[in-house]
Amino acid sequence: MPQVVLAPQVKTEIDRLAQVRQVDSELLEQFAYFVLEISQQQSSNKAQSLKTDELKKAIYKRFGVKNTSELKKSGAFRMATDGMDSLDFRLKPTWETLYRKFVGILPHEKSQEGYGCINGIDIFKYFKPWQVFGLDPKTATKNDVKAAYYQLSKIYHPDNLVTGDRAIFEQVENMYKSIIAGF
Amino acid sequence: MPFDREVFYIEEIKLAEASGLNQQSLDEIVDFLQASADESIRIKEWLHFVIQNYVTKQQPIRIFSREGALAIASYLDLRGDATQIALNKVIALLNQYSLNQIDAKIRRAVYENSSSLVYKNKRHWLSREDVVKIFMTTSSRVRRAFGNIQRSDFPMRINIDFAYDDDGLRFFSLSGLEKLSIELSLKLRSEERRAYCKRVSEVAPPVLEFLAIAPSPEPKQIEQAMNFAKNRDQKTCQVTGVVRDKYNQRIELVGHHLYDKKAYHFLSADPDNILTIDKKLHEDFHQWHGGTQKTCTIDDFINYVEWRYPEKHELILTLHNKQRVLRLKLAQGQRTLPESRD
Repeated sequence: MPQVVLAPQVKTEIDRLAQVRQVDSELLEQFAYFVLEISQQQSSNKAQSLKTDELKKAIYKRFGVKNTSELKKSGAFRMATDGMDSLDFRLKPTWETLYRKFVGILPHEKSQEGYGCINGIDIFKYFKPWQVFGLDPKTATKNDVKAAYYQLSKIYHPDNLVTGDRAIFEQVENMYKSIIAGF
Repeated sequence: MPFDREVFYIEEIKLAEASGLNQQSLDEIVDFLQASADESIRIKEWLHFVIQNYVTKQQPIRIFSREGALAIASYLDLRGDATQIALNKVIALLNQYSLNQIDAKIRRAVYENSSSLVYKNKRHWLSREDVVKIFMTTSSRVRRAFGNIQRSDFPMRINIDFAYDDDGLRFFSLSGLEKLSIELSLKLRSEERRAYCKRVSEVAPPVLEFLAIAPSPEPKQIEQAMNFAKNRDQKTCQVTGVVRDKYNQRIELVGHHLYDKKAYHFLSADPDNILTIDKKLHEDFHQWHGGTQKTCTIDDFINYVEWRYPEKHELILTLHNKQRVLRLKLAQGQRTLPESRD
């Protein structure tokens, strides 16, 4: 039994289409339920964004410190952030940036879609080559990495007049060069 | 009598403080334990402590080993005099001492092996060779650690965490160094080595910052040192012997920095580091070495002279002498290292 209910106007539209297009109305109803269930699942998966305190806690844990003052003094933190633009610790976006870089994917940014997103990863926000290439780092061979890179290159290379995109391609290329150096 | 400071390093005043005793009580306990007939509690000089010096004949100042500190703590515990807090304090004191020892080793390793330190693209970079020496490991171990990191959830990013120079040599930025520090501190077999690698990311930044911001001599001071060196060398090329005179007006003499002035800026205004040579020869050397942008040391210049002027025995020997002097000067910089934390 479907757990969602079709709105009256959807039902009316189904009846209209069934009549005009000579299609089975039951089939259209099944399809409408399918679409509704998927969208409901997606909205329930959509996690809330973390609060600043939660972000801070995760960063403190990563660097083994108790507070922001200790974090600023931490040698490991200073090393890890060498070269980053100056950080304004009063702002939530700063903590989000640090979380993305040092902890992982923010709950509300999981399975992202849209421009710059490959395999659910926003490649302009995250450096997650294995997820982007759809490979298991434990088992992937050098050839697997190359194959995945060529696959993505075919889509995003600027020479591809339909789907090419220089900015995306550069990110993908950067990911490829980074992980291939480990072999 | 000299003693091994790596074994005996715990000051009695700090041990007394951590144990919740005054120095006099600690002395009484040590005298008692030293004279004890009970083998299980007896403490011995040269095993549990050494006497550093005497204030008066009856008042020795002792330095304890880790075993000594633990022996006293366990005696206090046995006697029921020590609180759990005091025992914890002794343990914390021992940990702090061993941490200080590790930090001192790291500080020295970073200081002595950062000649490749460069600042580029808003980041500090160190060559893989230097990184290997800082972690006191092997090239293959660093390569393996790098491979593991690249297969992790947080791989190093090219031109951010690692990069290649024009010769294809790998460099690591400080963020790359931090990732290596984590990886090695988790995967090495020896606990001591793991502790060492873990501390690298804490100790390296102040040393590298110190090296990166070590004051550079002013261009005027470098110019003065060059002029001094030219006068000292009687305005004669120290390799070919040519002089700029009425008959050789095209000869131009330059002051060559044996340790190049960019990478070894603290030696750039030292006349001992400057040799007067013919400009053409200077250009030839840098071309031979791979360009003026490439870091050079006196070793490179000796190699060049040995290759181009193998018959110049005296010059080569003089350069070897200079090499010793300059190495000493490089090592002397050690004195300016920041003090270790207590």
